[in-house]
Formats: sequence, structure tokens, C-alpha cells
Amino acid sequence: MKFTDFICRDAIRANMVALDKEGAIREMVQALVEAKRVNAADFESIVKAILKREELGSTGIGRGVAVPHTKHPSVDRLVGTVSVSPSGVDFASLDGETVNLFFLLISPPDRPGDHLRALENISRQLRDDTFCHLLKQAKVPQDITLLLDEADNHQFGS
Amino acid sequence: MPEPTLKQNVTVANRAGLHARAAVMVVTEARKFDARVVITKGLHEVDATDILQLMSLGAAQGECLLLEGFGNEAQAAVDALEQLFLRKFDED
Repeated sequence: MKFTDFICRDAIRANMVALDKEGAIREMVQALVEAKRVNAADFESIVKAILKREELGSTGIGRGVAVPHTKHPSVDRLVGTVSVSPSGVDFASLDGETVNLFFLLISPPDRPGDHLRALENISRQLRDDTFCHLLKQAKVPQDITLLLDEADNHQFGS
Repeated sequence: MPEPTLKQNVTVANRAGLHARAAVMVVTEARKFDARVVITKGLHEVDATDILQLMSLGAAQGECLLLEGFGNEAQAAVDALEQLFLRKFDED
């Protein structure tokens, strides 16, 4: 699976302003609403579902990265977005560090394989330190889009 | 690298596969022991204490993984990780 298969380009943001977990999740889901990939009517329900998943254990996986996610019946295929927080968000990460780079995923309840393949792609690409570092330095959404495209075209390791 | 002191095949039995929460459980358990555990799926070989590496396996339900333990507590570490897979990561 490639980034282009599940990342909604119009919902990519490089200027997250939230400083806490709930605010960060709200901003990312709102970006998907603005990109018309999520219905405004489902906004609160999706945010709550993602927060509930976070209660099971933070998706802040360390190295300044988090992958908040949920299953939700309102989507008929996997949808995701990327956000960069210049100031960092307290996300209760495994390593205690703040998070600068977010991959948010919403998947249909009956498609665990797609979610797994998206996670596989994200984590495989993030193992490349250069890719991870450059993403966190992104100033505008186009910087992120370009990096995702380069990753899809095997410009980074692994 | 020393010879592996223990090898154990496990099957991913939970429906969601080795997703983020399951991977965190593996990392947390693996870090408890004075041992190094390598998990292999096909040609991919990863460190059980590295969550990015674990998730990059994309190990789905029904897939077989090899656990290899090295070091003083290899047996205990591999046993503990095997239990997580057998328990389906407390899912399903």
C-alpha cells in the first residue's frame, strides 16, 4: 500500500496549533471534514472514537510520531491524513517525548487488513531517519505531499 | 551475534494482526527481560523492542512468525512473547 492510496491530500496540514491530544485529534478530523472526506455530522463521533482508542494506550509510538486511529462505520474505505506540529504536542507517548508528526487513520470496521497495511507502510517509511526528519521540518502541506510522493516512488530507504 | 538460544514459531491469531496496540504489548514485554528477541516474517527480521520495526512487518491474522531469543533470559522472553500471541493480545 502507498501513501497515495489512503492519505487525503487536501487534509494535510503543516501548522497544527493544538498543544494537547484532544485538540490535535480535533484539528486533524476537522481537516478531513474540510476536505469532504468525513461528514461534518460524524465529526464528534469520530473524535470520541479516536480518543477512546487512545485510552487503551497512547498511539504516540516514540521518535516524535503518533498514529491516532479508529474504526468507524461512516467511512467506506480507509482514509487518513498527515499533520505536522511545529511546537510539539503532549501525547503521552511511549518515550515521553512530544509529538511533531501525526498520521491519523479512520478505517471501515470490516477492513482490518487495510489498516494493518497502512500502518506497515507508515512504519516502514518512518524507519528512514531522513524521511522522518524532513517531514517534521515541513512548512507547508506541499512539502509533506512531495515527501509522501517521493516515499511512494521509493526515494527513501527500506 | 551469539547463536540463538531459543526458537519458537508463533501464529498471528487475532483478527487485527500485529497492529499498533499489539506491537506496544510486544515491545513492553520484550523490554522486561535480559534478552534480545528477533522476530522474523519471511525475509524481514526485526527487533522485538522496536515498535516501528514490528509494525513494519504488517503481520496479519494467520501469518506465521519466528521468535528467536538470545541472552540470559532468552527462554523467559520468548515464552512471554509466545503467550501474547496465544492470548491473541487479549482481543477478539
